[in-house]
Amino acid sequence: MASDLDSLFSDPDDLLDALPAYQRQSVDTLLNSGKSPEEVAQLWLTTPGPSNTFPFGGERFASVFYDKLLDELEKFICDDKEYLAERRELISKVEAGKVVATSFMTTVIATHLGTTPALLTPAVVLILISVSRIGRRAWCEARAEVRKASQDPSKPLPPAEKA
Amino acid sequence: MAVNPLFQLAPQFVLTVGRTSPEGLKLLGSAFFVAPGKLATTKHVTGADQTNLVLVFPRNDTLLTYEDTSNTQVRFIPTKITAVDPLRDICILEISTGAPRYHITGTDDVAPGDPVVTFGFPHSDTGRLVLTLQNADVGARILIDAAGIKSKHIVMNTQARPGQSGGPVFTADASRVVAMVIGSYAPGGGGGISLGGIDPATLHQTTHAISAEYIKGML
Repeated sequence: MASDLDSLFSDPDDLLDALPAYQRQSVDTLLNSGKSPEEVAQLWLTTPGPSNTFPFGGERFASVFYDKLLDELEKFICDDKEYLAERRELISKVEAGKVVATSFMTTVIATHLGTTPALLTPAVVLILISVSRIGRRAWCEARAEVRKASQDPSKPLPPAEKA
Repeated sequence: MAVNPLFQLAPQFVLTVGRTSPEGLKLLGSAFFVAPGKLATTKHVTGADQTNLVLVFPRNDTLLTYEDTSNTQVRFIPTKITAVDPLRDICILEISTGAPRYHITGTDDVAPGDPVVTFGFPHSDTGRLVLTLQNADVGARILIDAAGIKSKHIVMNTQARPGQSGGPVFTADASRVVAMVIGSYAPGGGGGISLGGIDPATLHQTTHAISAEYIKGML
């Protein structure tokens, strides 16, 4: 069934159209500086705002968020049973366009992660672009290897995930 | 000197962001109206998590009324996040009421030496809910980097405390909001030493505020 998702991964740069202008501008700047989509996604979720500034608000940033997003995206696009119903709905939305489909996927995952789609969308889009370039199957296999390696510390991580 | 008539009405456009839980209401920071039904605060105030996120209204309608600090009754309504820019530390919230009575511009409108006026809820992390006006001068215009994205900020010659993040910075004539308070200068982002819950690295008059022009782009 997941192969029906493959049209989502054709012409991956179109996925950036899902971003509002204020996010697109920063993402484009970072991509044009030579950073990979995954690097930019990670920066988007882990940068604690302007540098050398102590925030005067009530909550501090959680840095484990990026890995959780990768886990949820893997479940979503790599045939995991947890997102079976949502994946069916996503497939029905792919025909409506990548922006609609990406928005749906982001909203579902944001709910699981306890955050807002407004924050998550650029990171999801950038990771999907990365998946598109590697190929969905290859990305899913690499993720599976990473999980196996993390359970067995004697095994090195696969090269694709080190990049 | 009399307080500017618009500033007297600050409780009607500067609110507190909070989060409800079974233990009660936790106050997180400040927010202010930037468009009909929309308010700006910092991303770090909300954590980009809209679970049980609320906006708390000040108890008085004007700044001239004495705030009863023993009063623990508050009125709040749920809110949701409509836009987030983590690199510039900005978050836009939505509710069904309210509108600004001023223009949102940017830090190009103020120069070093110009007087500015800020509003916020200092010490709200301890539960104190007192909307407080602070007069300050612009000390510097600076660009601050975040992951390779540089943004316009001003340094204000005033000391800020937890709870003031997300507060508006007005021109002295009350006509424009030029910036939003985000925190204080602290090498490496602070967090090294804590004395009684206070980081000594933050005890100085070098408060950072990001240009409001970036807020306009998120509405």
